[in-house]
Amino acid sequence: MDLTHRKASEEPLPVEWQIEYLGGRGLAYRYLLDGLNREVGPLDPECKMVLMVGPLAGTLVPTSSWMAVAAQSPANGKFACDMVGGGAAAELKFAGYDGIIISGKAAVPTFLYVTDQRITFERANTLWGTGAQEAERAIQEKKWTYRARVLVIGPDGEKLAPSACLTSDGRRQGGKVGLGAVMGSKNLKAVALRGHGGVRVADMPGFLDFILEYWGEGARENRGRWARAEGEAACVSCPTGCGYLSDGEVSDFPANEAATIWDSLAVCRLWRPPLDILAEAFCRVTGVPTTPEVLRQAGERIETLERLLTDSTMAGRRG
Amino acid sequence: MRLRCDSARCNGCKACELACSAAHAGEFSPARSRIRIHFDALIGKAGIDFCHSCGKAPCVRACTYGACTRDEELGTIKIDYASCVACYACVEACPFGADFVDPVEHVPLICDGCGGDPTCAKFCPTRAITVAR
Repeated sequence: MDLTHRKASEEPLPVEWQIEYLGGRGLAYRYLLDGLNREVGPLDPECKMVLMVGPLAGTLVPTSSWMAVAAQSPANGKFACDMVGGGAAAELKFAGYDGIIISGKAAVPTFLYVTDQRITFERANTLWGTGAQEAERAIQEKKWTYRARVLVIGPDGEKLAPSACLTSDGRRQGGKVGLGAVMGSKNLKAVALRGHGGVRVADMPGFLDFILEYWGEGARENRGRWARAEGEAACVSCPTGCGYLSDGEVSDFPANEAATIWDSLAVCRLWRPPLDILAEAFCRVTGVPTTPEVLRQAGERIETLERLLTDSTMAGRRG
Repeated sequence: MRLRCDSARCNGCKACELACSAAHAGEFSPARSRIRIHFDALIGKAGIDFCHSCGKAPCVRACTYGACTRDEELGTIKIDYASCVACYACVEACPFGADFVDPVEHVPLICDGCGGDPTCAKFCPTRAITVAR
């Protein structure tokens, strides 16, 4: 994918690489390694960004829908990779691709739409500057990209903050290594994915039996383990309840992931629900990672946050 | 036999779609499944389109070729693909939006109940999909 020349080309995934590196993370690093140049900085247009999924993505295997996003980290220029959950990995597979390699820099704010063996470049002028959830909602409501799964950056990534995240499904974030800034440096607001294809396995009945056995009756009845209440959301083919959505009374935002609760509760003693939900909501919208330090700082400036979040331009979801 | 779906318990994992397409089409492809989840991850609310095996069965009435019939034993709808001409009259007739078009074979897809033991209900981790006899 060359953003400078608005050109997309396809290449087959070498079989020896598939065997040698197997999964999304390994393949992403391998593609990054290809044509690596010491002179190229992480935020230069020539720098590559690789989105890769593993061989099991799109199947019923639990926790398989993880997309590896790799680039050079803007913080220190080293290799960085993070995994994004949600449905993006499965949709990429259904669209008929194993990965996307993005290079170049778009002249105007752009988002990519990846669908059924075809990639289009879309204008993102109106999306530039909006919060991550608002942009995601806007893309999902467009006719052409209706109900697509979206990897999107918030204002933090557009401003090239070295810690910026990229967000999918409202709060599944890949970050802490600055992948959002890499996307922002390419003038790329979002990657929208929607596929209608399929993934095949060699022995389908055996595969289904194995998964059913693996899930097991015991695991299914374990209430603490699965997302089941209204407001909880799961990634594709992974029903683990690692995320929770606030009820909208405190703020109008999806909030509180397991990791954030851990960070806020155990590390910076910020377990005061309105406070930390607001703090996290701010992080989700702008694309700042919810590290303990960020949460602590956000907790100290809670009035400013409240004003920012209720401001219409920052609102993540409406109605 | 008919399916019962509780959208309040749905977490949007799409296991039912994947299992359905795997059992019927032999590949994991939500676009070829006979049940559809519309999950809004931003607000955490789901809508499930599934065949209610309803009493009036507008799909059966709409079919002028006698391809779409009710399975008297199970109470589900079955399509005889040998006599189906893919006019999609059944797809347009369904009031629940639970009749889909296969993007590969271009035939209508209606839940056939998997012979009384629905695969989607087996794979639903939150028991949002259950079977009512």
